[in-house]
Amino acid sequence: MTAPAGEDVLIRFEGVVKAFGEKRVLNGLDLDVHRGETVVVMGPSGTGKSTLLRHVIGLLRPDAGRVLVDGNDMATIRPRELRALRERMGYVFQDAALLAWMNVADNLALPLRETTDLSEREIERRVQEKLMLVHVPGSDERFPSELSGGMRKRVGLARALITDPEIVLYDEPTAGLDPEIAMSINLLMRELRERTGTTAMVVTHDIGTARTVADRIAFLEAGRVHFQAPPDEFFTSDDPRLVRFLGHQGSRA
Amino acid sequence: MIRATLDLCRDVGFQLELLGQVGLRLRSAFHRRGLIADQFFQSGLKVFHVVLFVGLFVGMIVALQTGIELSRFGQEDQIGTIVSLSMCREMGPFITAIILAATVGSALAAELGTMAVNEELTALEVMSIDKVNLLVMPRVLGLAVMCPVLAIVCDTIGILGGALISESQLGVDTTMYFDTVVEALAPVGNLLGLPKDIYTGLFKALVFGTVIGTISCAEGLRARGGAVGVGECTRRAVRNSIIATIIANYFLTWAFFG
Repeated sequence: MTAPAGEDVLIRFEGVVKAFGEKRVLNGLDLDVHRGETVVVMGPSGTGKSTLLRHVIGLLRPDAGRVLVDGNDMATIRPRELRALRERMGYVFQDAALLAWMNVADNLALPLRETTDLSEREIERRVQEKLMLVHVPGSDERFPSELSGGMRKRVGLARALITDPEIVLYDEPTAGLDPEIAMSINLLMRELRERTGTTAMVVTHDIGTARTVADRIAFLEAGRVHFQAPPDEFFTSDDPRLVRFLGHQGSRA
Repeated sequence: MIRATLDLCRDVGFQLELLGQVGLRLRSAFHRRGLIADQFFQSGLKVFHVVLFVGLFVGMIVALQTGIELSRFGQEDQIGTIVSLSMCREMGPFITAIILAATVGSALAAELGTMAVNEELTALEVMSIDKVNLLVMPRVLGLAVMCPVLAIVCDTIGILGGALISESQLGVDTTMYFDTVVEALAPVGNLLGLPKDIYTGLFKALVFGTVIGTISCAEGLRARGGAVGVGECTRRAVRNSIIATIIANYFLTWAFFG
C-alpha cells in the first residue's frame, strides 16, 4: 500500500506511537527526512532513537501513526515489497553485527551472493571497491574477531554500502570508540555522503558525529521530536532542555 | 498451568513451522552443499569417537546385564540375539540421539543464540537474506543425515562390545555369538527387503536427528538477553530435544512393533 509522502520527502514519520509493554517509547512522533539529506537523531537514552530506525527498515511496526519510506507504508507493506525496499537500504549496526564465522570478504559478499545474480568476479570487484572506500583494504581474509573496534565499524559500513543503497541508517556508529577513531568514522560518513549522495539517518549520542555529518539534527524527548534545526542553530539554541542535554559542549559550535 | 500449556503450544507451533520451512528449502540443498558438508563434519566426525566409546560400553553393559540372567537359565548362547536387537532397535539410535543432543544440538543452539543476541540474525533480515535457508536448513539436514550414520556405528560397535563380554565373561564362543546376531537380524520387513530391525532403527535415528536439529535451531533463533539468554536457550534446547526424542521413540516403536 502506498501513500504520497511529499515529492522530496523520502522518509516520513506521522504521529508514530510505539510501546513495549507498559512503556511508551514513541509518543506521536513526527519527522521528515528529505532525499539526499542526513538527519542526526539525538536524545537521552530510552527516548526511542534506535526504535525509530527499526521502523524505517521494517523490523518494527508502529502501534499507531504511519512510517512512510518512499511512499510505502511500513505497517502494511507486503513481504515481497519490503524485501525490495530493504535492498535499497543499508543498516549500520552499533556493534557491526558481522557474521563471526565468515571472513571480511565473505561478510561483504553475502548480500550480493544471496540477493543478486552477479558473477563472482563482479562481487569480488565490488567487495574490493567498498573496502577501499572505507579505508580497510587488504583485510579480506581476516575474521571479525581479528579486527579492532574501529575496523569492525568500517567493515560494517562497507557491508551496508555493498548494494549501493539509497538510504543508509546508522545506529550509534561511533559508540565505544576512542575520540580519534570516532572522528575518523565521522569523516568517513561525511565523505561517503559527499561521494554517493545517499539519504541518511544517524542515531547517536556523539556530539562530534552530529557536528560533522548532520544537515539537520532532531532532538528526541519523551518519544517526540522536541527540537530540530541545522547544526549551527542547534548548537547555539537557548532551549533549556537542549542546553541541559548538551552541557558545555553546545556552546562550542 | 494454562499459561504453561499455551507456551508449550506456541513453542511446538514454532518448531513445526520451522521444520516446514526447512522442508520447503530442501530443493536448494545442492546450492548449499558447502555448508551442508561442513555440518556433516560438525555433526558426524567431531562426535564419532564419542559414539564409538559410548556404543562399545553400552553393548558391553547390555551383554553383561542380560548375560548374567540368561546364564541362570542356561540360555547364555542367546546373548547375541538380545544384544543385537537391543542395539539396532533401541540403544543405538537412542544413545546416538542423546549424544548428538548434548554435543551438537547444544552447540547449534549456542551458536545461533549468540548470533541472535549479537544482532547477526537481525542483520541478515535487514539484508533480505533468508536465515532459514542459510543457517537452519544445512544444520537440520546435517543432523538428520548423520544421526542414522552414527547409529550404524553405534549398533556395530555395541554388538562387538557384546561379543567381547560374551567371550571373556560369559564363556560364549564368538562364532556362536555372531551366528545368533545374524539370525536375529535376518528377518526382512516390507522395505526393499531390508532387515526390519535395522531399517526401523535407522528411521528412528533419522527422525531423532531431525527433531534435535529443529528444536536446537528454534531455541537458538529465539534467544534474547545476552550471555544469560544464550545459556538459557542452550539448556532448553538439550532438555527439549531429549524429551521430544523419548516421546518420538515411543510412538515410532508403537508404530513399527505395536
